[in-house]
Amino acid sequence: MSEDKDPLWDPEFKGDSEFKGDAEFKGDPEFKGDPETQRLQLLLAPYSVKARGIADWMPKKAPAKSSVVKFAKIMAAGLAASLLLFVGHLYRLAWDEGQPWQVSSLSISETTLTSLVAPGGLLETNQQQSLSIDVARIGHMTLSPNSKLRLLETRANRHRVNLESGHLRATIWAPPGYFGVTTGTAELIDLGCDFELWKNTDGNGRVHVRSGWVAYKIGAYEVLVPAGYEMKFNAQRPFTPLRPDTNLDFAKAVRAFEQVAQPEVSAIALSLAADRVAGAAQDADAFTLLSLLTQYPQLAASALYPRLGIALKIPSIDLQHRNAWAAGNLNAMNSWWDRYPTQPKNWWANWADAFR
Amino acid sequence: MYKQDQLLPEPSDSSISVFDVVRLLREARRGSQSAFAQLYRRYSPLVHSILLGRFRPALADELTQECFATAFARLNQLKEDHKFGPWIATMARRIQASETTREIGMDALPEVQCATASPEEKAEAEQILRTIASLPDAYRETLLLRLVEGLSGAEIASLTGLTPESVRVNLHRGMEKLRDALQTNRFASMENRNV
Repeated sequence: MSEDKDPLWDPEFKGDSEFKGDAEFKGDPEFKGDPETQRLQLLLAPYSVKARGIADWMPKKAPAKSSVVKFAKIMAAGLAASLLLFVGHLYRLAWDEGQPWQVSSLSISETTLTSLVAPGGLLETNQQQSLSIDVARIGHMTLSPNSKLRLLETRANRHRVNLESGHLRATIWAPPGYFGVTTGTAELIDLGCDFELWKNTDGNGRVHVRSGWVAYKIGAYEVLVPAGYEMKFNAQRPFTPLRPDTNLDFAKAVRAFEQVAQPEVSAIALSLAADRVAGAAQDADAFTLLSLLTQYPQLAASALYPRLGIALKIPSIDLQHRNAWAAGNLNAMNSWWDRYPTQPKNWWANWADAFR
Repeated sequence: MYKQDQLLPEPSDSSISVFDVVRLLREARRGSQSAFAQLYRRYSPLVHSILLGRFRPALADELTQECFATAFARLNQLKEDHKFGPWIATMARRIQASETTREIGMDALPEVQCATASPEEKAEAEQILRTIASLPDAYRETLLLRLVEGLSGAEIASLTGLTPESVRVNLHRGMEKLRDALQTNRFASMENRNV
């Protein structure tokens, strides 16, 4: 059946107007029209959308929101939240020069007294007392019993205290350098972290970093200490950072190395001491090895270099790199520093410190 | 003899191309009610036919608009814009009556306002509708589009997304089944009269 001769297919094809009956239609393939179809159509036409008066209609409900609109709203909400956080962060960092810090005293009798400390002011605790100190708006500090702390200066991007003796714990969440503690000859610079500092009146002490990093500066010399490490110091110099739970042989080997590492010592003696350190090291001691090799680049020729390579999961030893390190090439050193899992520049990643 | 001067239903707005449908959908998603109204104008015969095969005419009218209102609210769920017809047809087929009485019944046929239809013609139309409603889905929907909405085979293919060959087969087989069913009904009523 061709399309142009099919009245069932094409309603416009009327054919004969006279109804000839089913039998005649079925028996004649050349039949030019189908009155039966027309009859059915006429009978059923009153039920069509047009006849029922519903051919035109406008949706009354609220239009569906397009994904573009939703995306824009989410973006706007995200932007607003980011802006709010940014403004909040700026507010945290803002601080008028000389504006006192709030101090709460907690004695053994559990009575709390609130006071203020201004630059130049000394905070001193007895054996039954500790102090809770707000470091402007960037963090918090606890001063343990039998401690002395002086507020040296405070302003928007620089807050400095001096721990004369005793113990403190500081939890700071701010860009590197905003907060620092002097220990007399040296300065401990916060790089966005949580750390504890002990210091005796003779200048000996130690720093333990719980999260983030600190930099210990004495003159032009600087030692970085990452989370999970502890560094001892005296009035003249800092010692190599160690893990508090490192094995005793490794700790002894490092201390022995520090004893040997004097200007007049021979390269062979230094290298032998370094080999003993490498022999006792574990992978978790990577930062101690990194510190030693940075301080004594010539030791790249010793067993320290390949041991650090293993600890940092360096695939293979590159002789050119090793020679460059031994020559004191900073790029060579930085390429391995960058392999250390956490980096001091990522201070903002320790955001949880802001809530401790 | 049947009245040839009675008004046949005008074909629906089938001049809209697939590209127009896609464009209208995009505008409707952005909230354009007039764009969706144009989509309604084109696809309402399809939805109405599907519903008329299942529900009383007055209810089919109401559900047609409900179906489009739902579709308007869910336009973002349509993944392939050129398949709007099959999509809204599926939606119409899935509509469940909230009450069992809403389903079409042999005793629950419509009050249709038609100035030119005689009571006999109205009764016959109701009988034909019942008979069509008893046919399988594919024949039922195609026949209703053809006989109630007055669409051509090509328009039916365009709206439903079926191939023209499938539509042609459905029309002819459906018509045969309708004829047989109507014939059977005619004999049955004659026998009842004789008894």
